[in-house]
Amino acid sequence: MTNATLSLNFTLSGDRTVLRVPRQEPPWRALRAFPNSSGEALIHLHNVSGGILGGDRLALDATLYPCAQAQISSVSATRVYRSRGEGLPACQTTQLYVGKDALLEYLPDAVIPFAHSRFEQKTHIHLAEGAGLIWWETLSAGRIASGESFAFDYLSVETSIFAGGRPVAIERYSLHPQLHELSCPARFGRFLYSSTIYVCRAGESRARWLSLENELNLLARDISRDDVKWGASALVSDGVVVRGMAQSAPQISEGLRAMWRTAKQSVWRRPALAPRRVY
Amino acid sequence: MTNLLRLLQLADSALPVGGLAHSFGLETMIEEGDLALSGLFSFLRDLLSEGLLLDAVFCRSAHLRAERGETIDDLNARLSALKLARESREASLALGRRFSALLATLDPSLAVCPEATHFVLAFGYAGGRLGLGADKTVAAFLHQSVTSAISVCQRLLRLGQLEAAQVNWDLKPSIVETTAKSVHLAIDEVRSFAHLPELGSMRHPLLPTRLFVS
Repeated sequence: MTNATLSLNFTLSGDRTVLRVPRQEPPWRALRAFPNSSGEALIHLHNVSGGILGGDRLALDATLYPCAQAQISSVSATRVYRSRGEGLPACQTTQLYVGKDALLEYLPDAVIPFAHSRFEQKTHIHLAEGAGLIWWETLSAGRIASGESFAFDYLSVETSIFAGGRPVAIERYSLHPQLHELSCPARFGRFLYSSTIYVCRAGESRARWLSLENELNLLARDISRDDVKWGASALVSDGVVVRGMAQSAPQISEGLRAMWRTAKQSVWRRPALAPRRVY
Repeated sequence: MTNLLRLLQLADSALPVGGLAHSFGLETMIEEGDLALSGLFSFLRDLLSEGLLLDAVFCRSAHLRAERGETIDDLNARLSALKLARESREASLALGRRFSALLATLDPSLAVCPEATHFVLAFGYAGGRLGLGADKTVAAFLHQSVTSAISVCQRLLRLGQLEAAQVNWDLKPSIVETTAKSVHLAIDEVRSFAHLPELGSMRHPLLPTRLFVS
């Protein structure tokens, strides 16, 4: 069992975003920040233990000061290992604060809950006025290639996004495959992966988001098939949500990148540069 | 007795607030093959333990606020953030607006909710103002939600009147169970997973022909 915190501060220095790491406790490891050609400081998060173990308490705090630009990714999927006996669940808490006119792209690989794992994930994001966010998350049914799907004990997810103090998006769910069928139309249906993307900029007009919803839904129509589906909706304010569900991982990652490229170009007029070449 | 009869009227799916015009994503799910007649009962039962449980908790909370004479603005803002799919969120607000307007016409002393209030909150608040019990109010809201969903399915699936009545009849224990669960949950505790129905609502504008507004 590990209690570990990683704190990241991004500040604008001249025309570059500079990363400072005031706290970095193993198994967290932040691989060096370097500027990409789109203007963001790119860093990769690495869990050197290879995954999250039962009883682990991991915390990630990232602050982007005004006008900073950062892209945070991971080096591999978040593997949530089997929890022992009746021991504590693994828990990961992420707090992201994006300052005025800053932009954060938070683009991790999928969460893969192994058989008999218990995992609680909490993510709270606060956007100052003018702050931008592109955030995604992919939830896998498990180690699909090993024949495992929905074999975890439970998975609990809380995600909230506030923009200028306004609640913009809140998701709270718990999945208990032993108690509730997950492969049913009210939950996953016939799909094994579910992805969510939030694209937000605090203070942007509602008309802007309705236009982006339409743009992303046209893309969704083009890339959806019987075994992969995408859709987009304007949030109550300040952003758009995109949802994708698929039967295989490559379908999800292709769709994520297509949606990301379109949204970033549309809102920020800048290209979306993938943090690495291979997914 | 009078207030019980009023509750029955407010929970009637034929109440003229526009409920019959919305499928809340069901139309997409049926059109795209994600929901079939054979799975309808279990779908609605599962919905009662996810999205409708969320509604039940907010309905109960609005009821309590009405009893205490408190406002529900914060509940409304929070529920809007929880309803990610735009069409379903806007449908909920449209029904709430018409429900509040209707109630203000029927009994001006009950004109209490601001114009843009989610249906479930307006309903719960009205129940509290009418002095109806919280359990009855919550169960009545869930019942009308299930009845409306079945009505949508009657128009989109080969679901006859007798089968529809049977599904509705058989779901009563699940409605009672969800009502009971909502007693013990605060609005910050209730959890709901409905990714596929939400996706159905998000994809609804993409359908080439649509019978429903949402």
